[in-house]
Amino acid sequence: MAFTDIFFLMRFLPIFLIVYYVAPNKYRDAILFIGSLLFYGYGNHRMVFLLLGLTIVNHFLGRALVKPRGITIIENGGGVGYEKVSILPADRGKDTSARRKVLLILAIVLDAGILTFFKVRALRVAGAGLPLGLSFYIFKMISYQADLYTGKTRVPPTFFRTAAYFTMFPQIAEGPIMRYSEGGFDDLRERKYSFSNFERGVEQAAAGLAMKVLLADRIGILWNEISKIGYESISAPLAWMGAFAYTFQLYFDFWGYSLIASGVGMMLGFPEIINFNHPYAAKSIGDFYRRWHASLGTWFRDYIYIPMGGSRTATWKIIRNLLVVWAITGLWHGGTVNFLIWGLVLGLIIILEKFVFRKGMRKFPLWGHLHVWILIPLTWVVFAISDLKQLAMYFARLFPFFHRGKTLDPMDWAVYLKQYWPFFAVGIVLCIPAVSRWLRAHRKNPIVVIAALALFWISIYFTVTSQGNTFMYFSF
Amino acid sequence: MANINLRDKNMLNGNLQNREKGDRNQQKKNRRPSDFGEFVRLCWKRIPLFFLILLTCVVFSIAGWVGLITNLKSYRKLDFVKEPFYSALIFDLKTKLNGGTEVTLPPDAVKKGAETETKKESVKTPSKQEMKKAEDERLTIPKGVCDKVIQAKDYGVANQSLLVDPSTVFTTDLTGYFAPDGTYRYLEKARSDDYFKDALMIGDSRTVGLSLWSPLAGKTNFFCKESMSVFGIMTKELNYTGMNGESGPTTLDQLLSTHTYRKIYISLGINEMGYPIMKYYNGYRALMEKIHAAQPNAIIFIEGNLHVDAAHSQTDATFNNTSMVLRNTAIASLANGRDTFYIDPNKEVCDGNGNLIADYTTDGIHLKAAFYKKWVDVLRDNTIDPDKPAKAVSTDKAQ
Repeated sequence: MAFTDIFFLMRFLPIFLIVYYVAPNKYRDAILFIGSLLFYGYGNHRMVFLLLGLTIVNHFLGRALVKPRGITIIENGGGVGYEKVSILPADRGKDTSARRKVLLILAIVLDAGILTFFKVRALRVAGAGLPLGLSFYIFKMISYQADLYTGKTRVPPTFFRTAAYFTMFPQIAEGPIMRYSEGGFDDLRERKYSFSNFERGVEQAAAGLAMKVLLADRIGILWNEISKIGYESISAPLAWMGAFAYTFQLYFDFWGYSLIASGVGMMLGFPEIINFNHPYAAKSIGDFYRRWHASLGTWFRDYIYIPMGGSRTATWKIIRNLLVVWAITGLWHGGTVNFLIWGLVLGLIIILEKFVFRKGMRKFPLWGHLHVWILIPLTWVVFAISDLKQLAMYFARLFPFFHRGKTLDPMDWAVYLKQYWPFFAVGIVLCIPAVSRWLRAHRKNPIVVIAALALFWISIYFTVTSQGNTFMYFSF
Repeated sequence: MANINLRDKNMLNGNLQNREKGDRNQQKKNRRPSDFGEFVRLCWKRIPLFFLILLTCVVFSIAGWVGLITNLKSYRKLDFVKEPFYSALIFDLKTKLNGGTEVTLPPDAVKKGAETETKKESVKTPSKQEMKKAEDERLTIPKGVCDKVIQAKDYGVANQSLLVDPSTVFTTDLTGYFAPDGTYRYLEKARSDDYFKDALMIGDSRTVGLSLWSPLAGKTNFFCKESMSVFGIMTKELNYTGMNGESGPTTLDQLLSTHTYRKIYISLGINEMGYPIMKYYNGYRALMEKIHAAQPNAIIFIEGNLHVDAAHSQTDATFNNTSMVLRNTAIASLANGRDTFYIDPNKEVCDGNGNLIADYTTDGIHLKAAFYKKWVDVLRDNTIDPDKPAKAVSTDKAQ
């Protein structure tokens, strides 16, 4: 079930919301867990057992990790709606006994091992895909264990809380990789059931739906057309148009998805999760990746980069850490070589920005912006084309002085520009942070509300009439 | 702690209890709306978008339901467990926007759409029925469908008695078409692309590709549109790109009543693969009858539909070559060798197994731009001069 399925929007979600809100607060985690299993099981009947198994195993490993041994648990009047919540002592993280270390390593090896197994299997076995959302929920599980180990999580989790966190349907398919503590699982007061939170959730979900259906899917057709033409035949301007079309498609597809995920979460009382913070307004590529898919970026920062020493260490170690993190980031997105190249190239540019270009980029802010506006679309081309020969051909067409391939129609770009310029225009406008700020500030303005309603119904029109067009990030 | 008062069944917002201190005053107001107007005012003030969405959902659903029981009868097939009532309205609207013909998706197509999501997860296993159907079709693959030139009689022109006597020995090596009355025409190489000046290419997305990327672009007339079918083409507007610089949307009726063509090429069939073959065949025949009536002096070329690549053919229950070959066979039987001919470009673009060569395509269905010329080569090599009258076969009866 995808968020843009009419079955999800008009059947599953309304029924779930009614059940969720009719039930008393203390049952809501259990309801969320069961609803999420239904959501996940719809169309993935077998993989739901993998999810369930991993949830159970991780829960018990987590329990063992927080099991008190010589440390008192403070009983405390906890969050609203819970009579009593036990809070683990603040110095819990200092307990680095061998037993806890072994448990943590066991959990990480198990989780990472399963992820690796499926990634390798997807490469080796023709037609074998990854279980839906595996990359995302495995990362949730690893961060969950690490947070229990370091003492960041201070409320001992119950089964349904843990299970709801791992499986919650707004995030199961493509993230965001919310932390356990962010979701109001740890401090239950953070879950807010309010009209204003609910309405903001509806707004975000509607905006995300429109972005995905009306913009990303439309502009994506151009990228699709170009691959149908065959890269060897396109003109250089069309190749650049294609790179930007894919850039916009990926951005609005994933940003749209994240908005729906965050919006549906807010409708259920969870806090807003900002996964995309206007990345194309970034001043450098390093900055770009603090704003792009932030929940993944901070995950890598917190659970790989910083444990390896982060930035407070010798220069060569920083460089090593960055390259390791970016190589893993690449491989996380896909097992083929192009993803490794993609990650390493980004790592390399970030290293150059950090150590070589720094002064120059401060002097000329446009320099950094050009990195974002030109180099990033080029890296997305590497991301998009997994066949290396085809990838080389595409770059040869982007930079035609290599004289590979043959332009069939030098004016091909004009045909497509005539068709697609409105989508590019809207895409560019939406990349401007001020536009979003204005919309947020005027969200109760009747004209904005009516426009949002109209966009919602146009999106529904396309959702009902077009045949299921799933989110791009599903295959990762 | 239960925090729910179910005040209004229709309004979910009634189920939400506000916990924020700052909102308490408003909450008190909300608790006892003095009248309906006050309730609506509060909704509009606090949850405007959600309120409007709910309201429009209810209104459209009622409208859709009323539409269903009154005049939108063809949409009763919708599955209302999975789809809202207003889907009927939306399909009705789409039909109106598309020019007035009924568009009910064939069940296969609908199913395919719904399954794209899970496709990456597991390879779809065809149902028993589908497998049996495919098996039946496999048994009846005719030979020679990939041949560059196929004699009409291979396709069993309806009345066998009209064909030349099988014992006929031809004095010349003929690769022509034989009309049911025994006359024949040669398929010849075109002397130049000027041959196509008074031709019209009718088709779907594949012909759109031909119009954009082939050597014939600008040298002939195109009437084509993505996702066009033999059914849609009867009424819908397609894009016309004429030699004289004309371009824009028009209908087939308008086009044929204002222009005269000597050769008309038809390439339609990939978008009909979700339909039963006989429905496709009858639609094709109706289209040809219409063209014949409007342009009696034109020669019609039935183009065999391009096959799909092996990856599609082996996994796709709908888009596979077994089905495509059957369909091409069906339309080929409409050729009469006199003014209607069947030509098949597949031999130029398919491998020995009849699958579209993988290097020639990205999506498995459309040719890459650089390979449209192979299709054009077939068209160039198999032309008929409409001014040359058909000849009687000069034969010596076997003695």
